[in-house]
Amino acid sequence: MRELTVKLPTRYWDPAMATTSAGVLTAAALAVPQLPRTPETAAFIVLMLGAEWFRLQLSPGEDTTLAPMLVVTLLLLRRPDVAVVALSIATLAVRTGWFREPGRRTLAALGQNGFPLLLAMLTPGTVWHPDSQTAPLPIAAVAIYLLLILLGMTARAVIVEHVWVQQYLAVPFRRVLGHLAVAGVGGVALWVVHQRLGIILTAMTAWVISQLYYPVKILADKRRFSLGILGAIASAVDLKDPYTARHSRNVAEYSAKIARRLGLPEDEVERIRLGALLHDIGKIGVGGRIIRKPGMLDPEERLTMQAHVDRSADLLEPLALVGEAAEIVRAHHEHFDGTGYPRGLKGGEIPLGARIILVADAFDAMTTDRPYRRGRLPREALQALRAHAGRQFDPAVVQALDQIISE
Amino acid sequence: MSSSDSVTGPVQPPVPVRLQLYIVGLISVAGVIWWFAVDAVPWTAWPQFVLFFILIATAYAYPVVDPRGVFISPAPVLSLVLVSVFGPAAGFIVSSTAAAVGIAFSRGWVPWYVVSNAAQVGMNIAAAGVAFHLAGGNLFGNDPLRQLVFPIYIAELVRRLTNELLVGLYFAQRDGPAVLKETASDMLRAPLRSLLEFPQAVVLIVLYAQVHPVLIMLFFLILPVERRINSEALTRQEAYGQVVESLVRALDAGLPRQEGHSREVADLATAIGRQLRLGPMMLEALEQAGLMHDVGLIGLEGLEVDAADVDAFGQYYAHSRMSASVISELPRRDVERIVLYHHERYDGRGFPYGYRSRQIPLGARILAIAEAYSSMRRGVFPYTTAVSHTDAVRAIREETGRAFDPTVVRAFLAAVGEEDLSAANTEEVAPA
Repeated sequence: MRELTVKLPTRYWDPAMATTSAGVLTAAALAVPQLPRTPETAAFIVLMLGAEWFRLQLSPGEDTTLAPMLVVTLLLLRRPDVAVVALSIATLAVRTGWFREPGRRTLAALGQNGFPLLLAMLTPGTVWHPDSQTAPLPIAAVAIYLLLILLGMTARAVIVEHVWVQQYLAVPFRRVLGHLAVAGVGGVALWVVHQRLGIILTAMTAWVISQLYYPVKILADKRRFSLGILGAIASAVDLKDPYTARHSRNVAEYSAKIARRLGLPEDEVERIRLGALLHDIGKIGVGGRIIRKPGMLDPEERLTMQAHVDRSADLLEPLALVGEAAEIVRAHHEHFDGTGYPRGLKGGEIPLGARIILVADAFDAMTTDRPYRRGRLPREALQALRAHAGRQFDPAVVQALDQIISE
Repeated sequence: MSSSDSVTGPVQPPVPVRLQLYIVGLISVAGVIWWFAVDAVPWTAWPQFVLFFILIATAYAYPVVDPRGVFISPAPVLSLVLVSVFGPAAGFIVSSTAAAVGIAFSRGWVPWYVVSNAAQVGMNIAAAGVAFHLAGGNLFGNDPLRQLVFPIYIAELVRRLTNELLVGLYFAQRDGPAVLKETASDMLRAPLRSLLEFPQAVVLIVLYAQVHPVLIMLFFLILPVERRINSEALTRQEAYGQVVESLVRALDAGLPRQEGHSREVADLATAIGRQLRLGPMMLEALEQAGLMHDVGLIGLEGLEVDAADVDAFGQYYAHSRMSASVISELPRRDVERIVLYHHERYDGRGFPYGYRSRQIPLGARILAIAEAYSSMRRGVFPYTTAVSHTDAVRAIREETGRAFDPTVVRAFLAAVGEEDLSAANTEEVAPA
């Protein structure tokens, strides 16, 4: 268990990035009047639109696109002005127009992806109007750009999603690095093609590279889509009880946060998130009248209710993707002192994931309105959790949640 | 590099006589072409032919399976480089022999099968080579758009058309001439698919001819990586499918529905979609929508108890909106739209919005019929008793132009094997 000593400026990250996007947009606006009015400029803008659409979800961390590839090419061509305009247009058009993201997310993304370009443009050797053919190749600018992008994504994962730096470097960082390597090599290849063969073949090469890279995108999309379906099914189960419409999703969120706070590796965090999302899936078979019943259940009803734990786990166990989460789900009503069900495990015998879900589950249940009482404030709920720490709940987990809430 | 290249699969013995005759004919024609082609090959370039032979044979020996379910191979792109540089005769001989070796390696040595496929490959490539030269292809011309890009597109188009035609003829001998209908629609789609895939050939040809021949070896770097990514995507796709499948089954069992209803609706909807020749994305959306169309029902209970219960109907009316709101959290908006509108009627008297005819997305019109059929057969809410296949089909036919889109009804009838009756009946019913 580690103590987090620095208070992370989580809530300031997106606004800060959105503010830097103002700089990017200003630079773009300044560049537009001097932009060469050639088909080539138009071609790069169109290509940038496609590259921005080509989006990979690298979880955790920001989504990333193929835009860096074209930015690298344009930097090598000494045309950072075209890059800044194309990137601004593409980000605004594709993110708000096609993906329908809210404006502030779009601006934050523009800031995060465009600000490194602004800084790279200040590098000696990359000037606004590259009339001199003797100027050195702007390799330094490319290096600085890619490095800043990498740094930005790492910072976002650490600051916004609270991934420990070590855990981030262990797995997710390599994925980002691989993607940026593809973008860098592709960008250099496009530059070579452009030098020797002109814009038509550059566009075709860009298309071929994206086609070759497409299976990776399919893989990422499939993952996102399937997790979406699991979430949808979890929400459907939550519909049985209108008072907890977002319960499963909330528990998944809290659990992932707690798991990260406890310094667990990312694949473990994923497993816990999945288990938390599907922890109530066994309630599919429990009658809604029991679930919705205000007040105490009679013994028979309680047995039915308690059986849902095993039902959930049995449902998940044989499945490839979520089978690993079954063990966590099966133990998510075990208490720390051994008074829980179904097996009466205690302390360290209970998987850590299950201890986390129990706390997250209780916290969300207490803070949302129920038929028989109103939801409590987070602070009151935490007090209740602390009162039961060591008996029902694992004190370490409660403390982690405490830190998250107090931030 | 990925370019679709259908390879006809071996048939179970006994091979029909018509197919035997066709194969003998195909191989003879290829033999004659071979006889004349040998003299036209610039044999001095043999080291490069050996290189291409190895590359193409490898491409056939280790096919890449695309996560979209298409069987693809980078071989045609390599062959296009070959014909554009060395002419159709060399393309014919090197590609067909390399294809024979590669196919024998990956599918086993079945002489007639290997030789006939190799003959087919050779003919596609030869046709592409002839087309390249007829279209004015010149690798070192000073107008790359007219002398390079356009001819390569034409060559790829001709290759694809020849391939579709030969594959269609092969299957027509085996399964009857009905297959040719599918071939025709594949050929209609060829110009677009060629447009999407010919840039690979252009880039590779330029790299090979104008930059350096050794760049063709890039292919050896890319092939294994593509194979790995693709196979991983396929494994994951299966795992995801399995999870959704079993959760939906559990959902069905917990609902006043019967187990398997959602799966049945999904299968029927995709079958109808296939009849309408929809693309793979749309078919996938239909399948997902079919599986998920009832998730909004999960909170409802007692639907089966009393069909006349006003409250039950009220809840029932709310369910498509509820399902859609649950599904709206998915990154696929098309699936959401199909689910949201699947209880709209063609005449505009459905729910939740009362849209009519073309206002309703095609996918929703398809899902409506699939769901009605499955619900009637099983007698689930709002139907009270299970009916036979004939009665369900009759009921759907009666609702043509009222509840259901006539075009989709025709596709439905074809999908459930009632095609012959459909033409006469649907003509009589005027759309509302």
